[in-house]
Amino acid sequence: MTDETLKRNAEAAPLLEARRVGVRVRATGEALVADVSLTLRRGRCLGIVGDSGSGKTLLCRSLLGLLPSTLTAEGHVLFDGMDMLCAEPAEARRRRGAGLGLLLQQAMTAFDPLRTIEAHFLESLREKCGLAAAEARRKAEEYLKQTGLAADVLRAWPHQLSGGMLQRCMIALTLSLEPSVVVADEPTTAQDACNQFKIVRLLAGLRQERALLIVSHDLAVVQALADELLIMHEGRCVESGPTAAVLAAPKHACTRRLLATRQALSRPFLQLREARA
Amino acid sequence: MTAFLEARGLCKSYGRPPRPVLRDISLSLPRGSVWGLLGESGSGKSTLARLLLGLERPDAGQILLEGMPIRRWRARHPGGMSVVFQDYVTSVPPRASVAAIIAEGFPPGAPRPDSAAIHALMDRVALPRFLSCRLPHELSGGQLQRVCIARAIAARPSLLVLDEPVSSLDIAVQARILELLHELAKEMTCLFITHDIQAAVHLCEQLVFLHQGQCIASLPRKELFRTDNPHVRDLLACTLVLETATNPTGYRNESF
Repeated sequence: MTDETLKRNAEAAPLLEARRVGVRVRATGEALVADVSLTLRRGRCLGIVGDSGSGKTLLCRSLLGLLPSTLTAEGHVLFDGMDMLCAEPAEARRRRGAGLGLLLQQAMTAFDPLRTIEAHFLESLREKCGLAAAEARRKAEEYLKQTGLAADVLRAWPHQLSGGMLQRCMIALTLSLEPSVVVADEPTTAQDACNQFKIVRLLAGLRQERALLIVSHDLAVVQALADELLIMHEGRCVESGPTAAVLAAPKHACTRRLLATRQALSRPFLQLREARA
Repeated sequence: MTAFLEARGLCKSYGRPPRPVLRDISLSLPRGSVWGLLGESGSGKSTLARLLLGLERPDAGQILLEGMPIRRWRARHPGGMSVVFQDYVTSVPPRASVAAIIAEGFPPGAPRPDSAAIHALMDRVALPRFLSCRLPHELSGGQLQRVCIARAIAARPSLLVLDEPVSSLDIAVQARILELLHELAKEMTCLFITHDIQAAVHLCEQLVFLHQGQCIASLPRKELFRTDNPHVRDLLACTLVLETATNPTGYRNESF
């Protein structure tokens, strides 16, 4: 991206704004996520990084108003002129998918095993965008093509496709609803290295037109995509800022540890690579 | 040195008409070695693991452990081989406690493990002891996979097959588990199946690459970047590495 676009995007009105979001266990009042604020702008990507159990997924779910009934959310999630946290369920539902897209880690369990890929596309596009079958099919093919899949996967059942193909189907399905914000929760974690690379490239492309939030425990994936980082630890944001700045000079012990562990994992590989070069 | 595990000319097909999944695979793991088995998803890695564990029979070829067919070797060494699968959720009974799951790993007929033995294993895989009464759904993915690893090493197996054991864990846990496996590997022969070259390089002295059911390369770790095999080079190029000031490689965010 040029400096010009960066500047324009930074000035753009936020597409989604979370203010002091928290998540509690309804029965006990125990806080699982506390006091997290973030802003998503068009053309920008925010990366949320943290260990498992740090509250990344709960935060994502509360942004979409999709917390399980045993949990309760507090704070505000402003999207499309309303607060997702206190919206009427029907209103929030209308905004999910078409406005606010979600990509999950487990593509295998995200699809209904008893329905073809086409049935998933047709239902979503009819429900969310009011498209008739022929038009929906055309759109599905268009978006599948963008993700590098041929139109004949529409006839496939989920079990006939590999995890990587299903993940790309999910990306195509999410994008075909033309959301302005995409929340991607560990979208590459279940993928092999080559698929991971392809999906990261795909997400990098879709970032241009939308706001992207990517959640990952892998700083290498996040570094490849995110303009800004938010580090979570035990349900709280412990550090945030531009990706390059946070990675170059991590302030919080938790960030330093995440960085050091990732570097340690990569070190033998890098040593071999450098020895070769 | 004679091989601990020797596979010769393994072939396996599934379906009708038969679709070959493995074609003429041979490998020989020295005792105490740690080998990596790498390849894209669908390349036949897990099928090969099932054959080597004796969970399925090859259509052709032979597998010998210390010179013996698998069945005979297993009869002589109860609990001698063990496995950790990728999907930890389906690897454990949903209504058993952590302690009960780990206790499953002790060979049948052995005295019932006491809580000290269970705690020792939990310590080994960095699981806090207070989790011993929890049920699988009360654990995080990383914790549950550590339970599976504790169960797998309970009987002190001499062969441990790890089928993508760290792929769904967070980085910090991955690092700790890899460290643990590194230490365990001194006591046993390990086959580490993964698509993650960085993890494999961390742990393995020899890397075997599968592509569409064929063994396309078997490289000592140090030779990895010298290979001219196009598929291996593809895998190397796909590997996302965290780039920082201490390892500048001309990386830019815009490269995507």
